[in-house]
Amino acid sequence: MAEAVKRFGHRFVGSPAWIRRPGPACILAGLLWIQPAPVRAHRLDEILQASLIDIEPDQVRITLNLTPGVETAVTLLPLLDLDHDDVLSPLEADRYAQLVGSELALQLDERPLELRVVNRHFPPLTELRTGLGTIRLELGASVQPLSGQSHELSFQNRHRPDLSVYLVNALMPRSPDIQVVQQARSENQSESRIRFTHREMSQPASGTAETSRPRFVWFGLRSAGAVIALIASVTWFRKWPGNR
Amino acid sequence: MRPNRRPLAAAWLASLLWLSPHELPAKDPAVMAKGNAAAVAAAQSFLATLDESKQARAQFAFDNEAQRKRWSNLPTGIFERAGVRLGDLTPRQREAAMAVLAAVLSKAGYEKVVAIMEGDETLRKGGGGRIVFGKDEFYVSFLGVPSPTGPWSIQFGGHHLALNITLAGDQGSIAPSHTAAQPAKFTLDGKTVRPLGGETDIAFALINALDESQRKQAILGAQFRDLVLGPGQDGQTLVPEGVKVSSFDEKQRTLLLSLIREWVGILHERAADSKMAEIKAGLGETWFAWSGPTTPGSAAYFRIQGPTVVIEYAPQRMGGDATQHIHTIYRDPTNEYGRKWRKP
Repeated sequence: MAEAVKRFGHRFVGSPAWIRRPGPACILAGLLWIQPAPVRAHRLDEILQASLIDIEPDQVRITLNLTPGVETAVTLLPLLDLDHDDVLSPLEADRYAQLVGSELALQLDERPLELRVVNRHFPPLTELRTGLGTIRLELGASVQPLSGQSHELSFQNRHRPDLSVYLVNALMPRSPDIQVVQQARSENQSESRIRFTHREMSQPASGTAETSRPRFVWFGLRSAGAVIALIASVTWFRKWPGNR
Repeated sequence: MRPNRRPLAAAWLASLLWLSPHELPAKDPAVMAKGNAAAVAAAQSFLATLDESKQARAQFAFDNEAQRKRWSNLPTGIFERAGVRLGDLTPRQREAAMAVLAAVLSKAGYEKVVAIMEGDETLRKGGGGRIVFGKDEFYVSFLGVPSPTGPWSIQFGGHHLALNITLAGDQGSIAPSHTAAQPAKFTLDGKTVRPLGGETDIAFALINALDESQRKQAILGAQFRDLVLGPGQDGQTLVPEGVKVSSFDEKQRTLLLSLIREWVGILHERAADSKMAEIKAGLGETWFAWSGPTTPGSAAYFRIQGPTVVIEYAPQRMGGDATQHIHTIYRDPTNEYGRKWRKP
């Protein structure tokens, strides 16, 4: 101890190694200091995956925006730039889009739907490395004609759960035949369940077939009643003593 | 005997009165001075200070959709803006540019904008690196010719701020606009500045003013780590969630309207009053949703969604104190970029 005090002075005796040998720590601190501020100001070690779900009578469309944080680039870029040439080719973009698509699961009334990549947009790799670029994928699944009124759509995003934060939201359906009743999400939003109702195309906009039929019968009965009343009135008029 | 129609007439008159705008235009001359005419004069004065090259950079056709949608929360270097950069202006030109904002915004709105810019400057002084931001990195541009009858638009934005202001006669809209703050609280000339302090404080007051049943409906079970309808998400309408405002009592409705006014009131009073009347009329179909703790000062997300308004507030958990980095968005599904006032 006395030897240590003699060599390093009181301040450093018994202190952690990073204080006693400050060289590597200084280099690390320096690296952190010179890191661009927006890197500290924006997403670091997470991939934000934001999904919007659009339900239509004949298809379900999903728009997925992926924004990888700067520290996830090390993990994510090898999945994108397969030949490591620092350029994202259309084939590499397609492959990554397919990979993400295969890790999304969509079910309608507990039956799996096949999701296909419809469109994709990739920013340059240089932008993705800064943690500020967003990959946009548009996927779609055809839906068999819906029977019955109440349905449930479930969605799971299983792409890089180790790195991701998720958002998932149902869009207001454009078709008046679809009405979202409820959406529920898992706490981290990697899963969602959307309950919706569907009004079949054959059904009229107001009043169902069940309500239309009685209306038709009622109209017939009223018409018949009016005709009978008219005939009775004419007969009564003719039989009146003054009218003979 | 003649039926007494007086109660009927009274009811009819009452309904007419009830249907009339809830907020009449302000008559205060100071308020009247603001608005489109003042904005036109300020815009013309600013443009007159610029040389031809800068004038050309500042002006776009009213139907230039690419420029209209060229806005972001991101800093310069990552997102390329067009228009005139404040850092390229002389002090006189810069003053004239800020005078345009002062003419078109309310006093509170102008102060909020300046506070956001100062916050960005504070962040820059903490170390900017190769990606640049700060007070010099805000851009101003015009779509269309400034006119008292309009419509025309002003874009003003940089890191953590994007104002898309459309003016048409006495009316105006700031949809869509992005306001943000990092740091959300800082000291400037010895004074504490909180650019989004009003939004934050009123929101916590509102969630805590709800009864247990309303709060249960309002609080969503999931975490919201970012805006859903932030920059780049034009034209999307979400399925509304949370608690319906039709269940609110007078105090709760007043708090909600004060909260909405934090965004709507960025614009000058006449336009803001008119917009608030529209939002009031749609309160029955408006929803309020919350995610996160309800203790004041904590990091929580909220969303207000009505027929003519969508507001989101999202603390950013990005390696720091989420309460010190807040993003917000204001949208109007019926009048983004002043769509109502544009020719088909």
